[in-house]
Amino acid sequence: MYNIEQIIDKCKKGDTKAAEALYKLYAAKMFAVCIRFSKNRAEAEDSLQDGFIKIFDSIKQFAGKGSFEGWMKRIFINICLEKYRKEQSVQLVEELPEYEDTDIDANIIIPTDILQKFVEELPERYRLVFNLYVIEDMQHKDIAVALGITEGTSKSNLARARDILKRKVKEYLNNE
Amino acid sequence: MNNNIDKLFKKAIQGQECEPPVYVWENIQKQLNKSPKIISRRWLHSIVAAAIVIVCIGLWQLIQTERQILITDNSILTLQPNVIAPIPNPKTEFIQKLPIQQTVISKTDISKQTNIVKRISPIHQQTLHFDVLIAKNSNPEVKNLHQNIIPLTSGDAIRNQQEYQLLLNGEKDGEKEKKHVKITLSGHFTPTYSAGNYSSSVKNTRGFNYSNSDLNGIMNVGGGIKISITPRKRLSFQTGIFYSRIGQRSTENSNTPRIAAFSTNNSAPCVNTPLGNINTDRKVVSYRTSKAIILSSISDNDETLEQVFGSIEIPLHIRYQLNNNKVLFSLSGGLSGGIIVNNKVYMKASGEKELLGSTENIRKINLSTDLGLGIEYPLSHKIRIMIEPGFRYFLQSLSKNDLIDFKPYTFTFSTGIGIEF
Repeated sequence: MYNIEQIIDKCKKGDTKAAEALYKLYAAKMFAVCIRFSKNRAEAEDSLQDGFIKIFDSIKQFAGKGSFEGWMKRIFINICLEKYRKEQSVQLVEELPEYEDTDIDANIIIPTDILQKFVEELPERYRLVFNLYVIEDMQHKDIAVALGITEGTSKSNLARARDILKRKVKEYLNNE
Repeated sequence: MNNNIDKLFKKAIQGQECEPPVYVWENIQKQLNKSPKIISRRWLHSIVAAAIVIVCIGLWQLIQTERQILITDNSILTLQPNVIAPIPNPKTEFIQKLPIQQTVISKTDISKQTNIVKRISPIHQQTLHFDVLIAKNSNPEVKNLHQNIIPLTSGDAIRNQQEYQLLLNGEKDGEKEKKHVKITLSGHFTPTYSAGNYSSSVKNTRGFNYSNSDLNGIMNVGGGIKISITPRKRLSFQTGIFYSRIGQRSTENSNTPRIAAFSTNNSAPCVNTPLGNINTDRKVVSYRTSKAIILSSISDNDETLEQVFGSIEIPLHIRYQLNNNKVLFSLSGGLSGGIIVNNKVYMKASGEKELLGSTENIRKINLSTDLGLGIEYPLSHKIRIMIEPGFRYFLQSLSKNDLIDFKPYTFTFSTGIGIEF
């Protein structure tokens, strides 16, 4: 069994078995990333495929500085966002009555799959901004560039996303 | 204020894993296996370039060989260093008809001949090493003959001698033209109708499914310079440099939105077109009407999207002359290599034309195959008018995007004027 550095080296030399090993190692993680940034599962599968092809094509450019997983993740996110930018259409988003200002209780427990479902159900633009800001720790100015929107829009979309999620969480807790 | 909600979701989502379907890896494997084909496509360009070079060298060799044939004719004294030149037999027709004293052809002698003879230039006399020129022959008669022969030392002299001998032999003047290499330089003006065979996956256009019928041809003009080398009477090799334009025009021709031109993205606007997305620096703001999605800057539903690509082309053609009358007809065919130097997308509406940007992923270097009919009419001995209707078909898709297949074809009507050297 090779370690990740050896697998990367072999991939750089065009070893297909190493490519398969790399895929098996990261496919599940990267597919989850693609799902988070794609419109649906089919598009996520496309992005996963495109992303790995791009990684195998450009793996020689990975200099070994920094995390390989982080480098891969950026490639997958960029591919998904590129598709989003190409397909960007006028989206009708439901108007919310007012912002939910209060935060939720820190000690609440909700199953992971329910929380993931809540995020998946967000309108696309809100979901992307929420994922980029909260999960990927990106700044609003970088999100604005990545999505082709203004910083103000990014902040506004994040606020909307949080607002929807809070309502869903509260609704879920009330029904429990 | 929002720390708890962020933490709750970050904890749930970060590190999340989801097993992809098996066929994703199978598809990746297929793509990886296709990679050598991409390399072979790159090789293809090199092979084509090498083939062009080889053809040019071959052509040059052919021309050189033709010249050598003229020089090494057996009936003429030839000069080869350190090799004893063949001695003309005094009994041959050539010597028999010419007294030894007249072996040197003077201008005065020639002027006594027919008007054809007048074109023969005087032989230049040059001194060469004696043993190179004349065989060591003990026969006193032959030796005497050798001393009276003026060696022929230039191509002109040898040709003149040959022509003179042909005249003496009673052969026709026309036959001597057979082995001349002609070079013709011509300038052309070429109106072109360009269209293309198109197919695309819905996946690419994301819901805007263009079909071949949505694309229309465009009219353009081009032109260039052509060089024809004619080593044989009916066969020519042609090359040169041309500029031409190809492209397509998409029109919104039904109630469904055919022109998918919209974007709400201010920093990276994007317009989907049949040949791919458009790169543009324009701030494109769109809105939706009942018939189409259009650019707000135009405010009209009858817009047309025109994608034009200017290309510099180097043809490599073979031409065969069909007849030998005053009006010459010929057929030509071959390959052209083109480099896209101009890539523009225009939106036309209500008589106005706006430049939107350029189309993404366009193949810079293209190969096409050409077929043409040539008609030539002589204005003078050296100048002729040329009319050449032709057809060109591109061998590769203009778009590098695997999901878009657009192979342009053009009908040309080239008119030009040529000068023969």
